[in-house]
Amino acid sequence: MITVQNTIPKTGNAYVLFGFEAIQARPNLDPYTSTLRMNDETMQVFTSDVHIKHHARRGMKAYALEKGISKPDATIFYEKEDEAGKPRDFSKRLQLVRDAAGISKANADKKDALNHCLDLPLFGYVHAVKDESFNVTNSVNTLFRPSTFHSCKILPIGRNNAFPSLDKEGEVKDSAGSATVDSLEYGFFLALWEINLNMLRINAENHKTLAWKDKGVSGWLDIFLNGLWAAYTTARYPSFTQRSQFAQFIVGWQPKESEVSYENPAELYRKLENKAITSHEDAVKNLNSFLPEFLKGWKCSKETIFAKDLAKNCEIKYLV
Amino acid sequence: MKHIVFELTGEMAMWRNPYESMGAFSSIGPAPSNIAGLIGAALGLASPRSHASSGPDMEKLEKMERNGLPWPVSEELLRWEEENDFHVACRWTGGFPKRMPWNVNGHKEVRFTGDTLRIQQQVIQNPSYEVAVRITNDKTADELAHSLKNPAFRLYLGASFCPAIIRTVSLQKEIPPRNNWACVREDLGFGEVTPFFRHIVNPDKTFERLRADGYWLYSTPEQGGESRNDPFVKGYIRQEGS
Repeated sequence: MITVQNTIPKTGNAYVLFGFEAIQARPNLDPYTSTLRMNDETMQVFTSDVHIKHHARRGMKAYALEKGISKPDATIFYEKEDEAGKPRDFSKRLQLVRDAAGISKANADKKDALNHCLDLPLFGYVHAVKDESFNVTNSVNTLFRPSTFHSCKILPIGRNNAFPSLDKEGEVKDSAGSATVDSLEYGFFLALWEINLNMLRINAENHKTLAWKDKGVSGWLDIFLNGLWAAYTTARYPSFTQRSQFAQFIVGWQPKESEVSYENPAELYRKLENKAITSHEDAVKNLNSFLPEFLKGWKCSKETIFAKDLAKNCEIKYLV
Repeated sequence: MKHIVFELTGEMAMWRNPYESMGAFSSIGPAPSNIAGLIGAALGLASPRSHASSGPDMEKLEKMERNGLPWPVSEELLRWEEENDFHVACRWTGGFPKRMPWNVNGHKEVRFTGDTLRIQQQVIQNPSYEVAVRITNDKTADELAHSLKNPAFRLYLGASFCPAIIRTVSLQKEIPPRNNWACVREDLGFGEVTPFFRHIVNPDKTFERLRADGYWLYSTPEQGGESRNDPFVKGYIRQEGS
């Protein structure tokens, strides 16, 4: 479990750098082309912010339920399915939150979802309901696209489908067929998050599940950091394309001054002698060479770090 | 009178053009209304429908919604623009402009049926601008410079998936002499243009947030712009006779 120091100021920006590996995986696809998101010039693979936030939500739910912080249907608002695996629309989702929180029709308030679910104060919300409309700006977001800091090897993987399709008479209409998909052999991703602490306070100060006056900034960062970590460790998504992704390190800090380098971690690519990295050992070796300078530029130091964790196989010396 | 000059960058920008039916192809740069919005976020001036807004006038909001303006701009921001006679200049500093596809499966839709909402967009890659703001009150200029360095809310380049980075904020008596500040044209002209949208500071009379009068022509290495003696444009309008 990641311990968050309780000394974080309530204004300004905090930052989190999260490193994770994907091995023989398809982390995130373009929905129109069904191919990996990739910079064709550098062969760096990246994901969308929506994608990593989806995983963060899953991990936050697992962590919150494990800690007994919230109830299943009132933990994460933006989920595709309910606890029974059924799709739900906005009003049904809202009703599930109210039911789980024991809110009667007479006591219903337009801000029930915001004040009970854990994802909304962090990632934002739009309550577009007639006569009730309001929006919540996210307080936490990736500052750049989560991306590998190196070139990646992409393999075409041929697959056979299990069954043919049949016609009305039960005869084979189409053979089982096959398809070829692209697969990422190895990628070490770096995701840099920015947290606007003033916005977090505004969004969370009336929260019923994680009370601001009791938990404050550190309580909310605890949920976010441990949830993100869980999503890539103990609560990894089990699908074939997602399960081989592993948390490597996480570090959170708050710079004491507003001027930082604003260097995109994907730009570490330019410093690599050999752009292609194909193994964990090679990735960690290069990170040990270039990450210290990068983090110093972001004013991340022993004095400004409020949380960190490392996988057992990831010896980033600057963070040990 | 002071000028606040700063660099505005990020990894992606999505300056939507409301005239484009899908709203999915980013203009090259911000309109004055976009820059005003950025300033409002830095100063912590929340729109009345935002959770961050304190005590909005619900009766007024309902009237606006009935008249076709469901998501109005912050009244404080509109007042700020007019009281300070907000003028702005902006130029593209990102070399040859590039757009990239940014296709996502969203799922923040109201009528969620189990399918994801697929969105296809063309965003500006590695956007970079120099922005200059001219306001009449020196004290307000100091406050704005401080807020741009320490923004109250998160800042974006047109959409919340495009975080903004602001650097090298400075207060200057004159703006740096450049020959490629964006200039206003009534017709499309050649090159990269952004519809010249400005906030209407009396929306309760018009029930419109914005009005576009022509285009803001951005100069790029591909298409040069036009040099003007005074690159500043008035960043707001008060609509009369409505």
